[in-house]
Parts: sequence; structure tokens; C-alpha cells
Amino acid sequence: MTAKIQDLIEEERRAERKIQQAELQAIQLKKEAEEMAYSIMQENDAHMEEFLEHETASMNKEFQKKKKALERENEEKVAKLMEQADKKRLRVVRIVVETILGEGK
Amino acid sequence: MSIENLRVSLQKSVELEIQNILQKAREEAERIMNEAKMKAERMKKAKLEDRIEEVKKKEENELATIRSNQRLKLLKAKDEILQEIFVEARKKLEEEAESAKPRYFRFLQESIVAGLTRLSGERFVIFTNERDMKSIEKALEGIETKATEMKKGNVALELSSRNLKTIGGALVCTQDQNRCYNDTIEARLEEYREIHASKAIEILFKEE
Repeated sequence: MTAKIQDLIEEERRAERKIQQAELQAIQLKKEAEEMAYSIMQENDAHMEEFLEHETASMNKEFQKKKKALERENEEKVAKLMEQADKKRLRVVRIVVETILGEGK
Repeated sequence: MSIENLRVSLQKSVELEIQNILQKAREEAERIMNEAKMKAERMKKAKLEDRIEEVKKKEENELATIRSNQRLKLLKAKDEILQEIFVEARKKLEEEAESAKPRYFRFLQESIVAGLTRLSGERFVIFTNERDMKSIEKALEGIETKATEMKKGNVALELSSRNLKTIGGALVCTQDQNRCYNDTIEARLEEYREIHASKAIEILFKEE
């Protein structure tokens, strides 16, 4: 009987050690998670500029397209206006001449 | 309860506790990792938003400069065509004045009468270019009569022999030459440019 009680006491000690080991394992798991979290943040920082540069380049590409379209649109508009104005040039010259000769001040 | 049963129960309870400790630890580890991932994502998003705003501002400034330059370019083009029109109009008016057509002669007389009606007094001097002097000389009496009627008072005119440098029209002054009314073609062109240029622009550039 005494031997059995002794075994039980031993078993209890083993159980305590197991629990301590589990607790240590838990601490280790948390530590590893924290290290990984830190490394995620570090990696994020390290690639941030590269990521932003890529995004900026992409936005810039779109903007250049928009800019060229705006410039082309304006050039066409000006060319059209000038063509129209050129057709009306003689009419306006005649109006100016007639106004000057035909009306007093 | 037998000692054996106690031992089995103890083993089970320890196993359960260990499982519990490890489960909590795994959950905690997962939470830490997820939080880090989310924080990294938030940071990335915030930095990207800042960068987008910065780029948009730069783009807006650039677009505003482009639009402003385009407006300036259009204004210059409009001004150039207007200048050309005035050069052409001046050339036509010069041709008209040299052609001695009745229309020009009528204009010449009307420009003198217009000057006379705008100036107060009775005695006036008329200045024209050498070419127009002869035409005015012949019509001077008629102009005097017309001006007398219009001003409802006596009008005496003198034609100056001094050659006025003008392509046409006349400069009318009071006898003492203190007050003058410039109705030369150049003066009328200048006045047209100041007052009616916008009208000319409107006709030229009205979209059809």
C-alpha cells in the first residue's frame, strides 16, 4: 500500500513537471509568435518603399496617358478653332472696314 | 476510490490541463500573428493613401499648369489672328482711301462733320493728308453748311496746308488748336480695337 501511495506521489510530481513543460512550451510559442510578428512588420517596412514606388509608377503611367489625351484634345480644339477663324477672317476684315468707313464715332 | 483510479484520474486531468495550456498558447500566438498582419496591412494602406493623395496633388498642379498654358496659347493664337485682321483691315482701308471711291469721300466728309459737332466754338482748322486736301477743298463749303445746320450756329472752316501723316480721315481742331477731334482711319482702327475687338473675337471663334 505504501508503495502504491509512493507511486501516486511520484505520478503527481511527473504531472507537475509535464504541466511546467507545457507552460514553457506555451511561453516559447508566444515568443515565437512575437518574433514572427516583428519579422512581419520588418518585412513590411522593408518592402514598403518598393511597393509605394511601384504604385506611384503605375499612377504616373495613367497620368501620363491622361496628360497626353488632354494635350491632344486641346491641340485639336485649337486647330479646329483656328481653322474656323481663318474661314471667317475675310468676313471680319470686311466688318471692320465697313464699320470704320460707314459709322461715325 | 482506489489508488489506481486516482492515478488514472490524475493522468487525465493533467492531460486535459496540458491540452488547455497549449490550446490557449496557440490561440494567443495566432492572435499575435494576425494582429501583426493586420497592423502591417493597415500601415501599408495608410501609407498608400498618403502617397495617392500626394501624387494626386502633384497631378492636379501639373494639370492646372497645363490648362493655364493651353489657355495662354489659345489667347496668343487669338491675339495673333486679331493682329493679322487689323493689319489686313488697315491695308484695305488704305486701298479704299487711295481709290478715291465715293464711299471714302463720304467717310472723309462725315469724319470732319463728326469732329465739328463734337467740338464747341465757331472757327475750326481741318488737317488731312496731302491727297485728301484737294477733295476737302472742293467740298469745304458744303461741309461748312452741313455743320452750321447741325450745330445751329455759324461755322467757319480753314483747311490747313500742313500734311497730316495719316492714311485717311481728318483731324479737326478749334482755331486755337487747344482742342482737337481725331477722326483719322488710324484713330478709328485703334478705337475699334479697344471697343469692338471682343466682338471680332466672338465672330471668329464662335463654335459652330
